[in-house]
Amino acid sequence: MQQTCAANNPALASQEIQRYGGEDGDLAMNQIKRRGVFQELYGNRALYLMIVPALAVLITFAYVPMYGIQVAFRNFNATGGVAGSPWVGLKNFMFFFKSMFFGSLIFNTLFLNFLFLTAGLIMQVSTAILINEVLSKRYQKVLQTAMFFPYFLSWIVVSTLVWALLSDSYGLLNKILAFFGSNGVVWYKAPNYWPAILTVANVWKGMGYGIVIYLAKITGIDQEMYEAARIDGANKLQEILRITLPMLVPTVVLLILLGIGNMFRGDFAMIYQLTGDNTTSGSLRSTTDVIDTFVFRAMRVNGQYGLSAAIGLCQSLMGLVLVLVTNGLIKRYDKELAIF
Amino acid sequence: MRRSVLLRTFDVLNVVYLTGIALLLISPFLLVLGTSFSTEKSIMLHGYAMWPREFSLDAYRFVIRGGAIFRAYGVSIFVTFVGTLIAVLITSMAGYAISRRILRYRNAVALVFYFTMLFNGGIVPWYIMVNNMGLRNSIWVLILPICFSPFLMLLIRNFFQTLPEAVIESVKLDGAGEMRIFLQIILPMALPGFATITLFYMLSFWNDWWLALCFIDKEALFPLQYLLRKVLSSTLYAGMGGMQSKMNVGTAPTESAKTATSILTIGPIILVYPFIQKYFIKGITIGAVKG
Repeated sequence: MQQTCAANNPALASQEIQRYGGEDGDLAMNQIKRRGVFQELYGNRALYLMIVPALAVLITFAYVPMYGIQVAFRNFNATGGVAGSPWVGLKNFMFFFKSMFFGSLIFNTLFLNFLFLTAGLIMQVSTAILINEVLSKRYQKVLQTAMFFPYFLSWIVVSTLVWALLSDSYGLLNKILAFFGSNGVVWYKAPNYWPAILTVANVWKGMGYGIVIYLAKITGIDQEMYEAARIDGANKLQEILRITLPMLVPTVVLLILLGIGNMFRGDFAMIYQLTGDNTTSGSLRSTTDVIDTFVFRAMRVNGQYGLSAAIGLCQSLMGLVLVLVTNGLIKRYDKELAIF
Repeated sequence: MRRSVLLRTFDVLNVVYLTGIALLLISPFLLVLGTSFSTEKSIMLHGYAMWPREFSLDAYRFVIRGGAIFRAYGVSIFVTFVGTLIAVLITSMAGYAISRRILRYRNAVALVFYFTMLFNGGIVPWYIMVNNMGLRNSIWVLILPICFSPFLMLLIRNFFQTLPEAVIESVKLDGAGEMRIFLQIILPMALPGFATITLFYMLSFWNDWWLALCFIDKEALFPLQYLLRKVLSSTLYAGMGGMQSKMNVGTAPTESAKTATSILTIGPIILVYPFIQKYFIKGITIGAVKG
């Protein structure tokens, strides 16, 4: 549910909602507007029936669970269940806000996401621009194929790859360090390196996906602009800085916006797998524990359902607010770029 | 047109740089692949290496011997196959219906779909409620919760919207039902769209371990990725058919077994990757960003 990269795209959803809400004047609509509700449902019953299975799945696994949100306001116990456990008001929330981990969780989540977003953006845009400059179209494809590969691996497999590089006694990185006369680092016990390690892993896995998006935009740029620039005596660097980059701005802004909307969502799958949450007894947590990993641990290991539900609810609401706020700000800056 | 010396230098450096990046991206995988073919002893002595010093299939023999990996393969193949079938069917049907302008309530329905992308209750209510549904330790819990993605419905709807409505209307005048139109007219025309969402779903089913982590305790129902997770997190290589009790800890090829299991779980992906990646690229290009 949480880990499908592209599947959680709140800002994109709002874009859709806006599109649907705003578009009204099509012909077919006007012709059928006079029919009653039942006539409409019956008349198009085949089409409506086609929606039913998907809707059933969505209701069962997305809307029904919302009934369980009340757990955040209860002292959940197994015998009472969702509806029978005693109410505690905002106690779970207060406990979270006052606790010692509140600050570091929020900081880690935002800081790591900030690193992922900026590093990913820089690498994706620059690499896409450079790939576009490669003369052989076939070699462009080869590069793209190679760079897209990590996207296909699960984070569990990736954790093996990271282990192969970072394991303190067998890992490649320490072998290389030893070659240069260094003693090496016990990476899995050195939390200070992990924001960087996670950033590299994140950029590594998401690079191919981003490159596809940016390359599509770049190849869509009107070639006449480049020709005109060349006639005016522009060099390659000027072409990139004055034409390609500005043309990518809307896409970059949109993707930053999507990223900011997801700022409070930690990449659970990645952090949980790569830091070996279950085995290293938390020696990396000071820099890598994010809201999602904490919530999962509080729920599964400590059985603090009320607390973890409360934190999860805060996270969801903050994410929603963040999307609305960033979109509002962007709108003030440039109406064209806002998504709804 | 002759390119200047400066430009040609740039071309060469650019290709060198990008090739370097591409190799860097692939290299961790090659490291694990190489290590999976070496003996445990050489890993202990020389560490992970891209090229095995002593070639050996011991790790693979060890992994296969337990038998657990075959069962996990079975679970993963079933989940991926059945799951993708269900998912593609219901996603494309809903996406198609919503793409049809004659449907008056498509806006309202779409809103219901997209709202879940903006807001959800968090994992705790979700976890409790799915458990309450009695799906725990059932193969269906690995399929149903992720067999519909609003995002992919959006993607395939974009494909449908590029198809000419006039074609549909004319076939309808000939007396074809909606379901027949969908299967016989729409499906062949939107084949690239179907290919794309099929691949996205296959990948998410094949790579899923999260649902197993939450809801599966029975070893017989472990999918491949989750089995790998178990293997990685246990230094004694437990979980492979309870073998470790009969084995001397010192002889178990722990490190090479980790790599061999990893390679086995991505095996099918590697085999089909060259053929399918272009559909992913096409799909992302059309569906993901329209801004």
